[in-house]
Amino acid sequence: MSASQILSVAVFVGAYILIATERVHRVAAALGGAALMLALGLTNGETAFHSIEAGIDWNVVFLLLGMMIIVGVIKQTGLFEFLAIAAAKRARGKPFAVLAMFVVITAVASAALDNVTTVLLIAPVTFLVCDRLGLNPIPFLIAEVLASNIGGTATLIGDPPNIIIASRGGLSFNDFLVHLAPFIVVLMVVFVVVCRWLFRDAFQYDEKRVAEVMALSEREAIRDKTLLWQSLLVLFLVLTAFVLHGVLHLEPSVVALLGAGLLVLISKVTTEDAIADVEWETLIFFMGLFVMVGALVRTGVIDQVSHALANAVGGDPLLAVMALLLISAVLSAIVDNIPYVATMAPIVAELVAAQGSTPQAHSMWWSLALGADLGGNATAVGASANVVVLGLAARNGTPISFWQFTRYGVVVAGLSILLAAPYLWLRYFVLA
Amino acid sequence: MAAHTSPSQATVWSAALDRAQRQRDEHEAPMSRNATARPDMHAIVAPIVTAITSTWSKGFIMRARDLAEDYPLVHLTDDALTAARLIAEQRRPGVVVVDADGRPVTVLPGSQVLRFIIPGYVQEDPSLARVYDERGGAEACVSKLEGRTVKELLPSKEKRYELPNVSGDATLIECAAMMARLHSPLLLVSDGDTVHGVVTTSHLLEVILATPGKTP
Repeated sequence: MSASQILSVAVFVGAYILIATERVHRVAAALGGAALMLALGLTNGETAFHSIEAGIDWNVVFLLLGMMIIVGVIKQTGLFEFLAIAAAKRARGKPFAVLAMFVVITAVASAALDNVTTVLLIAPVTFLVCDRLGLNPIPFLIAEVLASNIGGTATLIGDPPNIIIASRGGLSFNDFLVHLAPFIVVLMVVFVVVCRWLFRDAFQYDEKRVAEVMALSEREAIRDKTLLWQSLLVLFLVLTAFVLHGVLHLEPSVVALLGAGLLVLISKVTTEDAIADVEWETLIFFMGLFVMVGALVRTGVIDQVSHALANAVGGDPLLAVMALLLISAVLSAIVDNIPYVATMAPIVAELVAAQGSTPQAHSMWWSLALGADLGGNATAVGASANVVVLGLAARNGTPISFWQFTRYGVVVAGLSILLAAPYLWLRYFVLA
Repeated sequence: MAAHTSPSQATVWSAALDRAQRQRDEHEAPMSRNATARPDMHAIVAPIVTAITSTWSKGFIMRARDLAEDYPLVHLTDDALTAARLIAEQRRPGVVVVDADGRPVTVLPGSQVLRFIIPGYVQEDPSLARVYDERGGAEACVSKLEGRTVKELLPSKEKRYELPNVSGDATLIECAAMMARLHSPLLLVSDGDTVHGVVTTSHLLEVILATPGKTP
């Protein structure tokens, strides 16, 4: 290894340790690492800001920004509160039926919006409904987080790692729908059934309290009907444009930005309110990560790691896919899956390129996505949505401990990977 | 007198009030003496106005002890529902909380009672607040206070409101600045162990708006 390679690895590993251990804020660690890479000449301004292979992936940054604006406006409509309360009333307050409906709503919304926002919106309604039914909200919250990570796996915009994978792998919205969504539908069915057993102690039905849920007025949750229709129209247009990528040839980031701009233009929402929910910290974190990973690409570290991995699997794509699935799941359970995928994406890109454009080679992208997204369910710190819900639960006086979450998370993540492995094998190696 | 005051505490407050009244009387006395010199209405009012203006122009500064008034107290161990009812029935902005020895600990504003009974998730989600049926919502709120003590209503010690407290000599603006800084509707006026009473926002504003040259 050359001196620049050793230096870039040292800076990267140092920043990664700081991110994983949360010794400093993750944005500070990513930006600090990026600054060091630039200061040491391991990358430069031209590469960091303008290189497609080794620079900040602006497609990812602007896709996230556009979707955050759209979701921020939808949040103000009260749509989620309406849907969840209507579902609880339709379930007539029966705990398992309520949980099943909530997890399905969460999974679908996570696929169409993003999973962190979805859990932020579903959690308050969960507290309310559980409060009214005299139920412990913890099993409901855990089930919803797990469902959000499963549902988010289905689409390009559902989970931030997917956005990185799509951009680095040149994959479209439809690719995700075709390759991941069918499996996720099956997994969701299995998950709902497993929830019946996993949270069996939580379903105590008190008929007397059902009236308290039935008395809630879900229609009142919709504060601005015009804004609701405007938001739904824009979301529909954006999703349609994602699907019609092959015809329109518009990058997902461009579609998201156009949608955000259109929504701000046609609605009465002020610019300040529209951007109030943009997670600037997350966007900056992504930029820092991209600069650091870009330095590894520029100094040839990624190239060397890819070659080493290719040698290790001995050119056996099935072994590569299964190893990637398992390693991604385990590592994503321990550290945040965003930096993991940001690092692995260029390595997988090289491995796929080395094996030619075969379905088996391409399945490595799906292996990475399934491993990272579903593995994030295993522990309380595996995915951003988990951390967000744990924080919400603590704030509302029902704290969920790390092990309390992990006890359920490990089962669901393990089961998901157990099902993902035969899916990948059958679809890309047996039936391809 | 205060609804939940121990006898010793009541005596302290009573004494404080007497002192405050005496001080007010002392300020008012010159006005009364001048008033007896002329029998007609104009003759009665004019000297009073003159006296007030003269007092202000001579640099008289109203002190916290002049503004302090009697106020309901509750103990940390008192029933939370009773404290809430005290605020509601007497239309008070809050109550002063005292410990077992009768020493003021903090102020319990009505807004803190609301913060306790309205779940955090409803406070943060305006859409959710709208879906409650009025009766069910009210019942849920009342049930949260049942069996709780005043101590449980208060935020944790680290987050507890700083006791808004000034000495009897504090000026009008000192009182206003303290209340503004701490967002408190009440201000305790005390010197050492002697409590003069409490200044309320409404009383303070009344005095500020009635300053010479300004019509409320």
